[in-house]
Amino acid sequence: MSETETEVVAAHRDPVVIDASIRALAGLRELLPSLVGALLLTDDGFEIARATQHGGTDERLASMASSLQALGEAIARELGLGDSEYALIEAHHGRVLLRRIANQPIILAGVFDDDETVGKAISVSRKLADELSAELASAR
Amino acid sequence: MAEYVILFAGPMGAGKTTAIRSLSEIEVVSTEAANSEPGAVDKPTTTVAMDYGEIDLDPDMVRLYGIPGQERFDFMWDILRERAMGLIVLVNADDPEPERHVHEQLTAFAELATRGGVVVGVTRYDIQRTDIGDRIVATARAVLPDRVTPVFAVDARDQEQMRTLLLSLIADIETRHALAAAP
Repeated sequence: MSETETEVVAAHRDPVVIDASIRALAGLRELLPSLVGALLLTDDGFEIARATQHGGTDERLASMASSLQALGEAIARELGLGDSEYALIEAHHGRVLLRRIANQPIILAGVFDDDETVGKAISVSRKLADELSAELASAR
Repeated sequence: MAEYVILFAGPMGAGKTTAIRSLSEIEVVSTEAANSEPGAVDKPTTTVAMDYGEIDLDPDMVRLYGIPGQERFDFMWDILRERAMGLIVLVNADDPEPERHVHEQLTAFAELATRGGVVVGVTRYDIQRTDIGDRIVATARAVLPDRVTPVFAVDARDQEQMRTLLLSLIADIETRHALAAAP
């Protein structure tokens, strides 16, 4: 590698990204008591950081979140709807929210129990995404 | 008019997305994400959910689904396998372990291969001309001893070659259905 080249480190192996992600998820957990678990993951499904509240999340959540986010973005693209902001799965006993971190190959996946209002989960996750995006942009 | 749902399986970098793009008559719906592990396979992006394309073989319609190569996405294999009628396994001739990949894919999709049809396409054969064809045939025979699994050398970028592979698979599916329906 020449002196002018910069080695690109994958997000899930980048200490700066991992540290910022851990702090962001800790903040999310404080603001959302109903959070069952949350992950920050790479676009291709590698876990960067994890926060769990009540005993953990499925080990395969990162892969599944990666697939679902990509499918959601493909649908929005096919229909000419522009960039997709977030995807929400409503289940009987909780909900899963996926949100892209703007300008980063990173996705937030949050699992909430049914005590949380949808609006609060959406707004708090948006705040996390905006702040993490800004922090990672300024770190580069 | 018949409708065929065909899966493209194989390790990351085998040419699944390229093959579907070669065949499809519609713009391919893709779910590519930045590849975080370029050291494993040197390509900038990887499929994380599926590729989807279509080809009209008048009067039949063929729906083409490419599945992610990495095992961590095997839940997508389960979702798409149920609807599928045929399987195309692609593997690189210059992969360090092509037989292992073929063995794993045929084992994972053995039920589909038995119920429907299966063919194997060996890509980059022009770069790595060895006895790989014989080795892949032997591997397929070991996994699926009760059926003949055709093995082709193909260029995933070549529409005609991929079309030959696909038509061979559909002929295999139709033959097996006809034999199953015979009194």
